[in-house]
Amino acid sequence: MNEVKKVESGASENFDYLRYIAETTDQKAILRELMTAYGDDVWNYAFSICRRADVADDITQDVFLKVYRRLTSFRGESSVKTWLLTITRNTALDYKRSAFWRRVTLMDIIAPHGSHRSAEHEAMEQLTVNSIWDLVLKLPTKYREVLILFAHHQLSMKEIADVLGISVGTVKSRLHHARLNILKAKERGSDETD
Amino acid sequence: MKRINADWEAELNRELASGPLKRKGFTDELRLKIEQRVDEQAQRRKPWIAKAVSVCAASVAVAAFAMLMLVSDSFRDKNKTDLALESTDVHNTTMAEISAPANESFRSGLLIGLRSDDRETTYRTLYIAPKDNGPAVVAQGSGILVPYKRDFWRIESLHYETQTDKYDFFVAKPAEARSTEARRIAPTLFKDDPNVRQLHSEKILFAANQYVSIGETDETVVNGTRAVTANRAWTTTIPELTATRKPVTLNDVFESRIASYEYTTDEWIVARNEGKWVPMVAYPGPVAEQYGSSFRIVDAQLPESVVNHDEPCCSWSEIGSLFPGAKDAFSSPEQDMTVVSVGDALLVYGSPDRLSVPPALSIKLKPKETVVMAQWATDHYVQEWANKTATLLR
Repeated sequence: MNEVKKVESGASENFDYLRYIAETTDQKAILRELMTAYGDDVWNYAFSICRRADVADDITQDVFLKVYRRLTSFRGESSVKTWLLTITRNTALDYKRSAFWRRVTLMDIIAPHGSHRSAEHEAMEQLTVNSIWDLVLKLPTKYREVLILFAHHQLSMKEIADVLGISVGTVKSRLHHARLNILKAKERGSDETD
Repeated sequence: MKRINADWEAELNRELASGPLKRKGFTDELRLKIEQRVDEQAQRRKPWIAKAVSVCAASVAVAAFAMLMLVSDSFRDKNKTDLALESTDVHNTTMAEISAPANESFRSGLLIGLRSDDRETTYRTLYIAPKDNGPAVVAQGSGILVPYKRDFWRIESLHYETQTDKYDFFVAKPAEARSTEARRIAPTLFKDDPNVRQLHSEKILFAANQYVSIGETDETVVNGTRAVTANRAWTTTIPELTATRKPVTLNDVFESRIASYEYTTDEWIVARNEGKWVPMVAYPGPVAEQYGSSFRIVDAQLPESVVNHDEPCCSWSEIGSLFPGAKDAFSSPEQDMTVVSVGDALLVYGSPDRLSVPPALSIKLKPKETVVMAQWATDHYVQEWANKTATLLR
């Protein structure tokens, strides 16, 4: 199978003018267009990293604010989509590194001995739609990312490598392991339901 | 075992082509929020640009003046003393212009309640207000002091023992009133079963100018071993804490009549989550789970009667990016003071535009200390609270 795909041909061509943007251009109008074209991509990628809808909302807001501030600095070295997904990833990772990410359950405060399922886990189960997405979101981060960038965002191997800052070889290897993990998990699931 | 093949890969790709959730993630509401934030940011930047321009202009004037003096030897020799004086004046004027925004920016007061869960649980209240052109802790003391109507009330910790039981609990009373006697109030609040040895303890989870959230633990002691029997958390009004302690529901605070569990249960509290006060409801857990329940956030904005002012200056991730160790953040209604909790300290800043400069004030926190109350004072209340808290928090 040829895994190098043609990426977002329509959308990226439409945003070619971003390379020549000037301070005087109506940047808010451009931001609106970018949100229309890539809002879902940014939000879905943020969600796939943090696995919480409310946090994905926050990250998406920050991504587009950053994009708005940096519009004049886009030089077209990568596609617009790859540029946006890279900003999304960096914002999400900053967020995860911050202490805000750590959840404190109230029952830990009241009853230090209590054992509870994490609210994050419970929320995730409620929100995911199909069984495959559910399994993908449970994958370790390094496998989850490559699979989502490839299968959902339809980036090429090279683009995934650029977004993640790893080699194309590592992308291929992680993609293989991600698929293998999903396959195994799916089979485990069907065994249990049999 | 099934093998990875092209068909299976295609099926996987098809399944993942749509978004992960049933509902749309990037909504029109979110798009509007982003546009509003872009507008707000543009608005906030304008005055700073204007000030920066005026400061630059002043600096250019000073530099030009200095250059003129340097090249004019005769003038310099002749008027050495005058020049020195004049230069000092010019310098002072420039500095005054630069620091003016910082001085102007602090107008609000913040009464902040803290709970430390170190070896033993302790509480303290600080009042941060403008003093000598900057923010300062103008009053502090142990316990939690809350503004209630036009006065201050103290949430007081009491201890009471019977032959079999021990109770550590809270009551609320006007701050200037005499201490409550535990033996007078405890028998009306707790029923003593002489056959069971019970240990009852409470923690303040949230306090504000009308409501307080309490977490309580009841332990029974059997053969000398402690066993947790019940944990509950509930919210009531400040005066009710000493009276019947009747918890309120979310329907009570929203003045609504919603039939769902979240709005009718009295096991809910106000908690900090991602820089905001949120309602959290206890959901009964499986029977196997000894400790009964876990809490989940209810997707509802608490009314002002519960949280008063609670508008964060910046988004979560924005704060998280600026302060990797941040745990919480609070902003004044006038956006003139932002307080960021970074675990071991509370950092006090001016407007949200100034979060990247060193803080105007840093307040050291005790180990495992978190905010349970944040009440803002504006206008004449800033000074009024300073006077009152200085007396009450000694």
